[in-house]
Amino acid sequence: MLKITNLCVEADKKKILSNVSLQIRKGELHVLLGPNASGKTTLAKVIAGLCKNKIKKGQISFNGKIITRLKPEKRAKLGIALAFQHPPAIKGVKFSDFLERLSSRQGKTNLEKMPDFDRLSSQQGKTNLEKLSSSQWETNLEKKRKLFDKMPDFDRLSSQQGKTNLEERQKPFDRIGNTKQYKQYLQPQLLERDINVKFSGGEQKFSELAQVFTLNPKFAIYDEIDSGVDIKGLEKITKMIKGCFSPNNSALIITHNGSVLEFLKPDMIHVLLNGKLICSSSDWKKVWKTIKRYGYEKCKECKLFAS
Amino acid sequence: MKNAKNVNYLQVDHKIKQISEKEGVVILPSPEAWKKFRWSRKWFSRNPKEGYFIWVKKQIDFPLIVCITTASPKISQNLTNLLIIERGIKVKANVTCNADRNNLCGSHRASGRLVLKDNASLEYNHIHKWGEKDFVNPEYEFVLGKNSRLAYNYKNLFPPKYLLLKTSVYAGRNSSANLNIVINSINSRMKLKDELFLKEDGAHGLIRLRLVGRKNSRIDALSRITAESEGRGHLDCRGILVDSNSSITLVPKLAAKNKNAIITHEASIGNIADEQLDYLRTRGLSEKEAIDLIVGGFLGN
Repeated sequence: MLKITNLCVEADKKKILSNVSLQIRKGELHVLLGPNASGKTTLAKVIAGLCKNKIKKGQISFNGKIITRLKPEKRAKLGIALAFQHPPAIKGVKFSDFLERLSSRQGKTNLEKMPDFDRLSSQQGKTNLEKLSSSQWETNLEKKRKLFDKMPDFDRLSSQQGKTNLEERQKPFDRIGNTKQYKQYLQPQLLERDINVKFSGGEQKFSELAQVFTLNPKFAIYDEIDSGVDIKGLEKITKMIKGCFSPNNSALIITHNGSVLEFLKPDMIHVLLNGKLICSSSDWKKVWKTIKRYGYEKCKECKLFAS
Repeated sequence: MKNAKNVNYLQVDHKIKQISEKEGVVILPSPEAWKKFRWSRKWFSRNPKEGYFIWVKKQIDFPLIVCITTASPKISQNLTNLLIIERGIKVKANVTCNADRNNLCGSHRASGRLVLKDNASLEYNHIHKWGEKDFVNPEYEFVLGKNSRLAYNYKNLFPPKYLLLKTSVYAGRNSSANLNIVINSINSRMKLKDELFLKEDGAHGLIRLRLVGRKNSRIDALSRITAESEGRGHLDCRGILVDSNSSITLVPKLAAKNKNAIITHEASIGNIADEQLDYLRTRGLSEKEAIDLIVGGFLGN
């Protein structure tokens, strides 16, 4: 799906990435590790189409198409999305409006995003007790239970928002796609605020995830999506990434967190040190163990994995 | 003009097409009001030749809608307007001034006075939409009585070639004025002058200026708050320059003539950060779409 060959990136005459080669196939989940200022974010941005003037050598291809000099918006249309580590604030643009805009660009109409009211009402129509036999009642109950499972966690939402009106609570979600899995994790208040304006660290991460999932990308890069998030939040984020991952898409996750690795169980793990990809392995447990015990410098000397 | 049936006053070029009076509101052409109501002469800034006179005597439950349009080439409108709101009445007015076509080379001058008597309240939404060769010069004065409230929102959707916009507010005891002026400039020269006079104790106000200098435009804005009594005021002027061939000059001025007055200001001019553009572009928006979105957010659209 994504192939990077001998990529060299320079800024202010300083080498940031040198001869980085990486291949991510369809359905694969890769993790990129590395100490601070090793060039991880630059690599993520270069793949997304930013800092392309700084590319001195090398090639990036996506699904067989060379995209090294392609504009970021064109790459987004091809199916590449980046969740920023530090997203900028856009004042005056409501988050829900922005998500709606992104969603509409994916070719979905508002009607398609609305809940299936006909189906809901037909289910409700069968609850007439007099007409039901006991077996029918059981089946119907099971159907209702399934239906209930699909509903958002209203108790949680109401405790967050303090609103009692069901429609009011449902409203912001309807606009951005009712079937999206992430909606149960997003606070409705967040949707009514300007993009990233005074968002906390955790809120920024959920906002980034929501945007990336709305774009429905073939290849997603999550740049330190776990940083600044509490334990519960981290669990939610990993669940969201895992839940939205399918054999038809792939992802690159930049992280410093071992528990993320344990939950996601990546197909490949890479270590970037001083702009060089010094290690790529499918045995993420061993790599993580080495880094945890000896640090990144030792990783460089590791005979098992050093390329 | 489409859907004009709800318009209270509609003027096209020099011709009054429609006046729709409702209970509690007197709407007349200004020259007629000048003759009919002698008392109005002290409020008119000059002997009017054309324009509207609106006198709200009783509480109304609908917004006043006024449309002034230029439809013929090289037309020159010279309006003298007067809006009077009686004591304790709350009014919302939507006033649209526009050119029917983009290439009329018209001229639109308006000299207006809006009087809010004691405890009155006015939300005045002033929308401009002009052709690229028009000359526009509105000069409005707001006189606020005791405990009155004014919210003035000016927005230009399509800028003219030249715009001279002058707005003055005279705030009485415990009155409040909120001026929100949004200017989008493309291929145009604009001069703005906003003044807020805190005439009596307890008067307070805010001038909020949002300017965008797009392609080949020049904006000179002078905003001033003068506190003649124990009042409070704040100036908030911000500009974004999108094009390198454009310029914005912001001059915020504060003048205090009372030692207990508190007046403050903030002013800034900047460009759109590359970081913001890059961010939106990775979401699939083109550079132009990203600029439009950021500018729209800045202008509060």
